[in-house]
Amino acid sequence: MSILNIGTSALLTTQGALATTSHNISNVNTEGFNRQRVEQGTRIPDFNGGFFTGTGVQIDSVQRLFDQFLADQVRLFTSQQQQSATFTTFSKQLDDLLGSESLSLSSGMDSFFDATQAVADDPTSIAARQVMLTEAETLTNRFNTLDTQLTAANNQINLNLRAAVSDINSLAQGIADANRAITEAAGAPGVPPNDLLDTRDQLINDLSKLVSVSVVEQSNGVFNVFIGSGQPLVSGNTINRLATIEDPADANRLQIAFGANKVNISNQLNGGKVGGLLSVRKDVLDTARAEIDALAAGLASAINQQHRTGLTLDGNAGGNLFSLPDPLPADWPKGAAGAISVAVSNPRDLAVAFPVAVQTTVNNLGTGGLTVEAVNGGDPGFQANNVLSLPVTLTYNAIAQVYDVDQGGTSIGSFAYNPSTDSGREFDLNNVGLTTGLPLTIKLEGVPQTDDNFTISNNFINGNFTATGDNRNALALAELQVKKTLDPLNTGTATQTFGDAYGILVANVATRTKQAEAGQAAQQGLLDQTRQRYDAVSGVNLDEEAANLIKFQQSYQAAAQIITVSNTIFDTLINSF
Amino acid sequence: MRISTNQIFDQSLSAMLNQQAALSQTQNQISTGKRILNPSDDPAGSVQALNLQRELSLTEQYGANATAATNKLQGEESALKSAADILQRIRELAVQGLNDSNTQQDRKAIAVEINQLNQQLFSLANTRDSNGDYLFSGFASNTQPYETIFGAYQGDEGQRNLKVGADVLVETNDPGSAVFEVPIADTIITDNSLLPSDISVSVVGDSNVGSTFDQLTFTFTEDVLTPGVFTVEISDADGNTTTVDYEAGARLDLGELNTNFPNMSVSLSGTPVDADSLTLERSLSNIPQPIFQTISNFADALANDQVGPDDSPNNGLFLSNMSAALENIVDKRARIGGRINAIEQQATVNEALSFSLEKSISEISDLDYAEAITRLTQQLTGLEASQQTFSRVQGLSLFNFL
Repeated sequence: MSILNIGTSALLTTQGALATTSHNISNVNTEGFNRQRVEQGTRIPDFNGGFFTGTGVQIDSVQRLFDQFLADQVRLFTSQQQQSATFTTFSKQLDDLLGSESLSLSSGMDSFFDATQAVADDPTSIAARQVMLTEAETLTNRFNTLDTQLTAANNQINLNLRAAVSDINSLAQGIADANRAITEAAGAPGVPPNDLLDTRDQLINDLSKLVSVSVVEQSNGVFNVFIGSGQPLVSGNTINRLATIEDPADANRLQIAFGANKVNISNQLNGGKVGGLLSVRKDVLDTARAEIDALAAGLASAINQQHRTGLTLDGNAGGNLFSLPDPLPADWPKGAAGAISVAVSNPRDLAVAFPVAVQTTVNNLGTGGLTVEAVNGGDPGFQANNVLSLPVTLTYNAIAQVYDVDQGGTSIGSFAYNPSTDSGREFDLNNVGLTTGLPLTIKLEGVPQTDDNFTISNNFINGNFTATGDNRNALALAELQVKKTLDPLNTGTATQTFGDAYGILVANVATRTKQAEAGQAAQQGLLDQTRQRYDAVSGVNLDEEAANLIKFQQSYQAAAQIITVSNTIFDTLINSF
Repeated sequence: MRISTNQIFDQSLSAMLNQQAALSQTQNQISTGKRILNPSDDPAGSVQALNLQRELSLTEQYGANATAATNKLQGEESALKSAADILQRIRELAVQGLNDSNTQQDRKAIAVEINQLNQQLFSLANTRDSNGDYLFSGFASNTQPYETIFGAYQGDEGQRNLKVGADVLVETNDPGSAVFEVPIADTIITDNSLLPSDISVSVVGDSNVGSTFDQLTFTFTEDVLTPGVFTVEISDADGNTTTVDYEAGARLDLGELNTNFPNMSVSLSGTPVDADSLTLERSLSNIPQPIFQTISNFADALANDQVGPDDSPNNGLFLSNMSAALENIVDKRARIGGRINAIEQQATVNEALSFSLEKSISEISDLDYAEAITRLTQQLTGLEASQQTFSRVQGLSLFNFL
């Protein structure tokens, strides 16, 4: 073997090394590129007599520097980080919405109740009543706007899910195609199709941004990709497509279906953008919507009930202040925040007066007093303009310490009142053992004498409504602001005011968002660290490549010198003849 | 450890981006003055701020209610002050008119003035507020409480409450029936003589004004030995008796004659016949009467010169009835004063509460500028350092030396 041949082998090998270095340099910014290295070895030596002489150098293979373990880790953390990031983006959007002063239900409710108190201050003022109506409209508008925004967020999630599913399908197709190309291109063992492998790895990385995947390598180098709880998205050259389907319970919530049979696998998917979208919808959006709907429904029904017990400025029974669907849908209060609106348009129709009045007889000698604290209008047959078919008279008997009650002259029983212990106590006349229950809660005080009496009758004088200055129902409406009226856990006892409920809603979203932000930072940190370790193995360093360039350039120059020497010694030999 | 070229870029870049995000947050905080920009910045704090804001808004509304209540009560108070002044003046005129030195003409003139004042009093009872609502008709704010001087009260018993603090309700009106109506007292003298006689009894001194007492009976008995000389037996319903000699026109101090008798002085006159008797009783009517009616009745009696001690019912009691009415109005004024005081005290409490709520809200949601500006400076320095480091590190490349 001549040194010419050896020199040539060195030149060819060095050219290969230079080409690989150039390839590395030129792909420094290529996403998913793993740096490559020429593996070179000595050629098979010649056996000349008793010894071997070397025959030069050859390229054994071009390898990519790649660590499968680190690559798997990067994918895992990419999925988790994407899930956190997507969750945070949407959660923050809701957080912004609830924190916005101009959309705040809290200030909307405060203004409405303030306006109610202003009407109580001045029940005959049409201006004050108009302000209360306007504030009621502002409040319902805020509920409606919030609902619109939450619906928009839900639609945005749907759009994103559709886009993600379409991306997943095309990535899956890309991986299947890469599988085929790799099988076809695979040469002898140890001669890997590096750039095709890079492409496939990059496709899987992109896929893991959308959803968590697990990858199983077959013996022939084919990758099978699984999602969810082991659904084969890619097996060899074939894929199972994902699709979006409507939730049977709610057509506005898209779910993700797998394969030709469209099996719903939403609950099994996690990680990636899809995992983030599904979990933010389940944990934040659905909860927030349910809470806002419950608040809207609770507020409307409590205020309506109080409003219905009152009388308008013209002495008519107060209707509903807020209009709600009739009949209520089966899944009520779902959709309440979007449906709520103000039913009253004329400020005179605000029911500010109580439907009953008390007359004290001038002959009363004691210090007894009676006030109607509440009219209980929950009964279906209740009519605010005719609460008491006949006037009710309470006459005290100081010896027996009882109030005898008669209605229209007919006794309907009696109940005990002991001035020394009961003064200032409230009595629910539906619940003190009268033969005819009365929908009134009264407060009795002082020390009445025998035959002292009080008469409670409809708030009409000779059939005419004159009590235009009566503000008791407005006071009762305003009281709802600080009264616990909501019973979210159905315990039978109201545990929350409207403000409490809104505070809990804001706190829930805010806490979730804060958690998600912290989680995202942690996931990002993990991903960055892993990516650094991965890049430490596979990433291109230009300084390193520059050094290699110099090194291989020098090798090439040296190999070229071998050719020159070979030429010189050949000349020497020729010239000697 | 090997570092890839892209890693150097990515790390520097993400460091700069992070610093910019933090800087932008600080900038937003400084430009809004708020520490909490979104609820998620401090979930617990922002919910607390919401609750405090609600408290604050309520407290401010209580303040507005208190102003409305004070205005209403001051309106009522000034109407009642005028009413008391008028009643006082009528009472003075009545005293003047009852003086025996007056001629009927004088009394007529006084009656005219009393009627004029009564008309003023009547219109005060029908006062309206700035909204055109009647002050003294209870809830029936569009109903004129008294349509005529002799008319019955047309309003209702409603008392409007305003909420001036949590659980503090203040009544802002009084129905006219409770202000302008009081039970009136009448003295009734009955002559039980069998034959017509000219005997009479009149009340000449009364330190027991306005109160009731049991029926008193004066029975004349002629002395069997001295015809024309009479003794008078005074008895009350409980059987307490005292006998005195009859002397026409003499003043009898009943309370001194018998401690069981009321503290009043009477005088008897006329020529009795044996066994003649008179009864004197004072009834306090349980049915309250509008004060305008009482005054008008008195003015008529005064104009007709029927205010002598012998006129029954005795208009001399007008003065005590006036006193009772005046006392009632003064009492109502005092209560209004009490309510205004209570409102003022509550307003002080509300203001203190508002102040402390605002302070708490500010502590929770407002920015500590000193801290924020220090932070801003720190972040700016950090960002500048990152930028400089980036350009320096990027300048280093072996290719520069090839």
